[in-house]
Amino acid sequence: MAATVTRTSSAPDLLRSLSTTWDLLLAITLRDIRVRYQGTFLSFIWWIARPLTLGTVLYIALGRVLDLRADVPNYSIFLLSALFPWFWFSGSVSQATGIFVGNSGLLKKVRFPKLILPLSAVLFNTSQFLLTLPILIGFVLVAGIDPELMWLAGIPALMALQLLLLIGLGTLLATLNVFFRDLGPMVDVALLLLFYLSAIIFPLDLVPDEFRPIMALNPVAPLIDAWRNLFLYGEFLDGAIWPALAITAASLALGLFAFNKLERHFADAL
Amino acid sequence: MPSKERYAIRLKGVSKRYLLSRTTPLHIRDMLMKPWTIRSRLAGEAFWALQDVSLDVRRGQILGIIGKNGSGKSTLVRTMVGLSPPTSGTVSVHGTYAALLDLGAGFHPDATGRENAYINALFMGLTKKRARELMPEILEFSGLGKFVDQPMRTYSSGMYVRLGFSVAVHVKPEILVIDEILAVGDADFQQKCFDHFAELKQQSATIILVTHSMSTLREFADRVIHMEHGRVVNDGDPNAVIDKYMMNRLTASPAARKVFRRSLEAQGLLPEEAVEESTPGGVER
Repeated sequence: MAATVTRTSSAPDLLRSLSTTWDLLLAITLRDIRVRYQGTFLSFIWWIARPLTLGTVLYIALGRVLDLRADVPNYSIFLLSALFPWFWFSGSVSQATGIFVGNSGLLKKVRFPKLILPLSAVLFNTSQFLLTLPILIGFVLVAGIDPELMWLAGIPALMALQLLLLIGLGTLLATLNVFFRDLGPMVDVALLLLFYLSAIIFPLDLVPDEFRPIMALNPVAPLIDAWRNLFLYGEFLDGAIWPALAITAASLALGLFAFNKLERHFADAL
Repeated sequence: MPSKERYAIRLKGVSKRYLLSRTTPLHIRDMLMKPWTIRSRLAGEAFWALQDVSLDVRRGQILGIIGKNGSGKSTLVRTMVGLSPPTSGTVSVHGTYAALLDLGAGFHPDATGRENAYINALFMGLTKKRARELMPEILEFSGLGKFVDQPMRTYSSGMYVRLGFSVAVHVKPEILVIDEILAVGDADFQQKCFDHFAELKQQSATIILVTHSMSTLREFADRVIHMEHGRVVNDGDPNAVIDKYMMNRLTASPAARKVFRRSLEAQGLLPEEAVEESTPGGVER
């Protein structure tokens, strides 16, 4: 049995359809931002409330009570410089995972580049990170860390790296979730696990040797480490960046591959 | 720029099979508790939503599609516009198209009508610039007045249709596909739509209309096809196809047949064989 579908559409050439796709992606993302925070007077406050609250709690519980401060210099910045990128990561991943399933009505009734949906979920969370970044930098400066020239290169580079990682991972999870709906709750559990495995609340050197291989399996740990090294020590092209780069490339390849292979079956599975 | 093809849409031997198992996603629960079911799930029971449909739609034609619920009408139009890939057969579409298959597909309930209309236009493939230019016209045509700046969750379904339809026709598609939603609009708006169809038709746009409103089709369609069990069972002049369809429906159930026969008896015209023969395929399920 062979099925062929041909379309001769006189209108858009590739370039124009790329630009309309970008327009649509931007419009959807802006709409989601507006809708989510409209009517909340302190919308901006809510964006930074989560990392700051968790940061404070962890600082008191671990830094003061368990006295990690003794082992980790500048423990408050140690926490915050990891928590901000972490919330960007976890927010994007959990939102992207459900995005195809949640928009099944749209996908079945309207023809458009489907990749827009996970991209907009990631972009939405990226915009939050970008807007809260000055707050993070503010805390770093207040803590007495001098701004480094390296930040100018490091921040955009790490953001690009994390953005690509999230696009890959988000597309992969959103695609697989269409066919395997248990993935949603699984991702929630995995994120909880990754939070503790990402060495966000403690430095990697405190981890006993026998647990190191487990930590190494974690796709975000190197990236979180890279963010921290950048803000705490002004280091950028150190050890952590290379595994982060490799993981990003792998997730991007895997995500786009899975999406490409499975996209045509969406119509029947949604 | 209109395409030079004589046909807007050509389907050749198109079939669509749904594997019933694949339409429900895999769950860990089933894999763990009932591993023996996995194999049968993967093999699965098949349902043919479309069976060997061949159809050429000429450019500038207004085509009506009728048939009972579940007869394959929606699958057919979704296949035409590429939302559902056929299992076998060939689909070729020539020209740009806009499809209005659902109330509110792509509308965000918390965004305003204005914002949704704009995004909807982008969904239909317009550039940002073109969409901005068309906005005043679109909003004007919808007749929603000051409600365009209210969130769409406050809209009635009729208002949804008004906005969706306004966008779809202003995109100026060469092919416009509408799946049974106009019925929700009020008489005024329906009239406005049909006037607009006439205008689109003049620009040799092709319009495909799935509807249960026979009077609409009698008035506007150039051609009607009747679907049953995923097949095209009748195709041709709107009045002829609709008459036969209504007749079959009237005589579908034994009770209806009795009533029908009695009324014919009363009028002194009893085509006995005709009534028996015209038992439609619909009841043998």
